[in-house]
Amino acid sequence: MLNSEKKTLRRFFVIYIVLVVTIIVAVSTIYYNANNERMKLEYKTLMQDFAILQTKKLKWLHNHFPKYKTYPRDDRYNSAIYDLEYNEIFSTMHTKEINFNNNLYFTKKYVIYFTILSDYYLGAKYLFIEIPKNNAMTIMVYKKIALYSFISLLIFLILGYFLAKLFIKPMKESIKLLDNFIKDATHEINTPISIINTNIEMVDKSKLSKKESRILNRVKIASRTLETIYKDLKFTTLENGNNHENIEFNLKDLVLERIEYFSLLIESKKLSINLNLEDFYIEADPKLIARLIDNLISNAIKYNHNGGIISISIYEEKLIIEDSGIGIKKENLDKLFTRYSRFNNSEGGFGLGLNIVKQIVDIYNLKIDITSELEKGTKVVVQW
Amino acid sequence: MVVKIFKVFLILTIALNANFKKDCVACHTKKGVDLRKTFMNALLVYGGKNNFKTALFYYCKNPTPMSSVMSEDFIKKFIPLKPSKLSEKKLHLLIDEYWKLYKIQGNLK
Repeated sequence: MLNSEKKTLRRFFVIYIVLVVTIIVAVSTIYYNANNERMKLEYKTLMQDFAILQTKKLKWLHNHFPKYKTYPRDDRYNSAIYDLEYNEIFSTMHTKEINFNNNLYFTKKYVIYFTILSDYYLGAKYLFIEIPKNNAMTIMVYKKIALYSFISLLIFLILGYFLAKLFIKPMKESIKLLDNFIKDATHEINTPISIINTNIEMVDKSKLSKKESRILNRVKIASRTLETIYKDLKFTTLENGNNHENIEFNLKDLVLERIEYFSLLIESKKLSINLNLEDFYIEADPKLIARLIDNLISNAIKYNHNGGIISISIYEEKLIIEDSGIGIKKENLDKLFTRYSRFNNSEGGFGLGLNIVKQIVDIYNLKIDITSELEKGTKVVVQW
Repeated sequence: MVVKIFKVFLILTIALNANFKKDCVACHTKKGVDLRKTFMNALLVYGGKNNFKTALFYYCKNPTPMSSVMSEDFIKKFIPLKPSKLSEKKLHLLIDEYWKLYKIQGNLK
């Protein structure tokens, strides 16, 4: 999957999951509130009955006070009476949290209900009834919410997976079309490039005039550039770095060979090359490392000013390629390795080069660091 | 000092108690009015301590059958109702004593 696809999918899933979670939370809240209201109603009905019973008992005690002084009690509930000035007259309740604003409320352990008496038996205006809270009901609601939320999330995720597939299908098709086109084009340009290269080599340079020699050099440069593009396309669409054969070789020799390969191009742009190369033996596929070096050198040439400088160094297990070219904008630095991404239209290309470099770096677990400053140049460090 | 204050308080209480018996109990007993019953009837209507005391004070100063907490048959026996001739201060003290003697708070178990 391409980075752009991953990014699109990631964005889609973030939005989708936020939306799904919001819906689930909203539905759960409605469900919880509905259950809470139902529970409150059940409690209220029960406690209203207890309040009626307790009022009768208070009435009886009022009429027989002080012959009988025992406050009426019941195993099913506790109660308290308060006068109209909110002073406690008597209480058997456990909770001390008395609230005169809400006629049904919950504490950690108890449910409390109060009613206003029409006749102030024993001087009481407020009758409070307290019963233990049935936490099993709340736990059951929580369990149901958790279960339903989990099932809904699962269903939505499965649905999201199919939606995401539908969502990126057009993008995938476009990329596939582009890949197929490049594959076909790659096949088609192989033979003409080989013919051009072979014929260039067959030309007897001693018999050519100065002008003809210059023309041949230009053809050679064009053919080399085409060959580099061909190799990049082949790597991207046909090989992808599979089936590489690792051998031990000196990186310095390979770098020198690749500089020689680009020498005509370097000369044509009148670039100076500073070399500081130490022997450095590595175990890798030379063809892959050559692709890595070719792309880095090719960029250093392409995006350099005429008469600019390219510095290539190998030391402390690092390959450093630095140019004095046009540089890269800071905001583009993190998108450099994305396939088909190009930030400068002044030079040709498919936007494959640094993507190939990244693939090769990943194959050999190397580290790559690119720093750049506009109009000053770019520095690429590959660390083994 | 504490002992002195206690003695003054004791004397005042005894003096007031004597007054409550003289100014209230004596007359009500003579007329066959149970003070406990009137207290419980007033409590049923007026509830809290301050409300009770205010209402009773007002009733003692302006007694009418309509504002009485007792039954109509009971009130008929005492018509015309006469306002209390006691001073406001004394009436307040007597009502305080009445509340203390018959209040419910602290007397339930």
